[in-house]
Amino acid sequence: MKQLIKEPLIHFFLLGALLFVLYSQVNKSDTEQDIVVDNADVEHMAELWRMQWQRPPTSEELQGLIDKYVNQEVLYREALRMNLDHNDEIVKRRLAQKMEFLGQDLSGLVAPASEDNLKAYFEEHKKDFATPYRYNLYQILFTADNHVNPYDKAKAVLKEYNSLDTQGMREKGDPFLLDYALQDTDAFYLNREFGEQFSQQLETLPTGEWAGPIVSGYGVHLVFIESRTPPSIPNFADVKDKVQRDYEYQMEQESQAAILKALRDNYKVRITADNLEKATIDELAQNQQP
Amino acid sequence: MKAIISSLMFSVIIVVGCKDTPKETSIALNSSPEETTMTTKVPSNALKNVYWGDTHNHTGNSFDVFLFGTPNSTPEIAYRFAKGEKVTSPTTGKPWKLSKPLDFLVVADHAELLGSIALMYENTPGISDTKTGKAFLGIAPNKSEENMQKIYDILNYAAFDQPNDANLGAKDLVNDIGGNKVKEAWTRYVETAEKYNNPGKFTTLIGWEWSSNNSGANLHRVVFMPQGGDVAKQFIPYSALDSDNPEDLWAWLETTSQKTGAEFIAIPHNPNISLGLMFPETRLNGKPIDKAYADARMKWERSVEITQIKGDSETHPALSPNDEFADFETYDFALTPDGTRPAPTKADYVRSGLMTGLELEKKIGANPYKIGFVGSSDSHTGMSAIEETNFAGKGQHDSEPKKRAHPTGIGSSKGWDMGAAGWVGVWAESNTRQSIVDAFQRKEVYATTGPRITLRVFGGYNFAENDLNADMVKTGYDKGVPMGGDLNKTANGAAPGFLISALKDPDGANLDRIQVVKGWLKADGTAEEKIYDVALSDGRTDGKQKVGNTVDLKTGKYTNSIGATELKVFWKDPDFNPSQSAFYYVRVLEIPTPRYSLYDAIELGIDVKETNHPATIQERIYSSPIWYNPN
Repeated sequence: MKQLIKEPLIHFFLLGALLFVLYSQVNKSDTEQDIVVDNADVEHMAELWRMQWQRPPTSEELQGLIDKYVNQEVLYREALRMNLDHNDEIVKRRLAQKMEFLGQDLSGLVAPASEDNLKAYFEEHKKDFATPYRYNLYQILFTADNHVNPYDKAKAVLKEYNSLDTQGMREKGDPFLLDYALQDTDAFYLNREFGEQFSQQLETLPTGEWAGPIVSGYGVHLVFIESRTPPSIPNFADVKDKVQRDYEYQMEQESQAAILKALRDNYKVRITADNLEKATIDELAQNQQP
Repeated sequence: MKAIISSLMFSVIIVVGCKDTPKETSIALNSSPEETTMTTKVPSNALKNVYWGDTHNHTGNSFDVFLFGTPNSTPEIAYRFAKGEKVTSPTTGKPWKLSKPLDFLVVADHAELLGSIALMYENTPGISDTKTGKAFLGIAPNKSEENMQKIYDILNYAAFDQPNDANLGAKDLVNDIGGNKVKEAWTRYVETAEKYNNPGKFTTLIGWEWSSNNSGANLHRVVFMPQGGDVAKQFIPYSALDSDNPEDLWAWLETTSQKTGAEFIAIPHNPNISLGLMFPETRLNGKPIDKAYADARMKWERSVEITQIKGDSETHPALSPNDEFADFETYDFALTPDGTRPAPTKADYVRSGLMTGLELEKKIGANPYKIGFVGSSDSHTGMSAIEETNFAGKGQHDSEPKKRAHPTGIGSSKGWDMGAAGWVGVWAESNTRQSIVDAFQRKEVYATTGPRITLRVFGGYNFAENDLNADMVKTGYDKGVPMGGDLNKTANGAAPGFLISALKDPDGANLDRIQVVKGWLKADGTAEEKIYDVALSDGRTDGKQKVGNTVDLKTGKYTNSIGATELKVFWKDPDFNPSQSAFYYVRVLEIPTPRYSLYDAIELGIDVKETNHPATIQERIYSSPIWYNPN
């Protein structure tokens, strides 16, 4: 039963039913042959006029508006009676759109961003919120601009000077506009600065000594990792805004997709057109999979 | 009646919503041992970091994005994409992701009719039932591609009171679907921007685009600010429907800035399709440019978008016949409904514009075109996807390789005429709104056509060759000025020296060369240009010698076996004349790599010649200039 309550489709129909009931309540004075123009209707018309003309309508103008409204209502009802709404592209589009709006509103309903829901989401997606690896490190670089084989050069330098401290090693690498000492830096920054492949190699290197060689987008490095802090999970309270942003986005996507899928499952779709490119047909067929 | 229904609908949602909302429980304050407390301090670097961003991204709130069939593009998707997350492409419905996150983004939707076309098709009272709404819905009752094009064309005429099929004028647009009616969409956008701003990690700057398009001349400006939603909600973005004259925009920026405390940055874009109006010698009212014009323009417009999807505006081969790299992503499809392709004038390109600035300075005592360089996408997909390997197109009509042989609806261009460019690199202390905007004010910014090449440029009189060491940046700031700065005449009239260092994109191609582009004012009051090859890869000494090309046209693969990881140089102007005003900017070229259209051709199995564009290009960056002032 709990599962059922969480099901967006159930809400969707529930909402639809409620709307229907409410709509018929509100419209109880408007029976089939009975058109009622009440205060609210008149106010609404006058307001629209004001928005457009920046002044209230005169009583003559208001009378015209009401006339127009009544005419429209009569024609609308006659059109419905004659089924003119069927297979009309604009009507179809508008109704489909209204259903989509219902679906969008639903996500906040099925899965409101309550403290509990956010916490549960956070628990489930903890690793998305984890802090990156943090480092204090030193690095020197050998590039192909300066060495025929920068990798071998780095290995040779490591072999010869691995006992040097962090200051002594600085001059052994190529002069290059990258920081030698990277204090309190993290994988996010290192990826931006050194390229995609660099920081992952740091995760397993020994600390407290010169190590490598490892490669970056620039060349080959020797690295002295002073300290390495593995990823940790932040406090929920510290990342709550971020959790909420992700949660709401995710839920909206999911509930819309779920509703559409559930509704589509009631239909059997066959694309019988054969004047399409094969790739298009295949793609369409793929989309029809339940 | 409608109002009642919608308010009832709202209450239904609340009622049902409560049913499912779990009761608030007290939150446990002591966390589990594995959790750590996050520090909220934003790191700051006095020697500055380069932050990459896009100041010019459009979503479905832009009338043209909507009209060209991408109504589902939202600012939310734009931010998520720029942050490096995988999103569902609003144009193709397929998953799409940047290779590396950007650091900041300005969603700059057209202020004209912001969000209104969407509301019109939602039959929103006050919009769809206006004269304009009815005229549009009459002419274009549904959102077919043909209808969207019709509305787009009408808008382009109506906005400037020119004859059109719907008999609409600018006043109609403002009253019916513009003006105060964009307030809701603006507020919604501002709130989303606030939600995604994350100091130190990802910055969202609140902005919009003022889209003056008089007779098809692109005079657009992107406007943004460091302030937050509290300030942004105090005004409605100024649009070209209010005025299509940039001087009126500046006046509005002045007033609004004083009233609200907003600190605006305005950036013109696409001078290449401005029909001679971006760097003019006369004002729109026909009077000559004077000091007041120059001062107002320089107060608000300190940089220009030199490269973007609709072409590169640095220079044109006809204007710079001695620049062998001038013909790069040349794009001359003006936004005229008749598809005119105008001949280039010196008011249409940035380099010649800078030169005109020197000429005007001598005449009127102020330089109206003393501007830094910015690259941005102008993407109309909500996705700032301008990498050659990952190009999502300008908009719906060129979103996929198979569509790109066809017209885009933008001028008479076709898909492959679009260039996959650009972004802006910003030298700032930290990744925060204020720090980034301050860098724009200093012009300490540079443009890229795609690769994230790190470029440092310093000019001064006390530099030497051996300053190109590990402390170069500190020396540069201590003894000189960075890109965007000014140098004044010294007592002995010495030539300025420049420390220039370029590091390749760590995930991209090697570098071919560093060039310095100089423009100067001759004694006769006219300006001239010259290009110096100041650093070349692979031991070359003559710039005429090409770097080579490793691209395999069958596979689209290239190797970094040619070119340099890093190029750096100390350069002094050998032709310096202390009595001539001058500007110097740096252009760095990558080795040739595939243009996106080559990847398309490979995917589609066609000859790359069918794309009408070269198979390979040399991507590049442009530093903001440093000016020398003899007075």
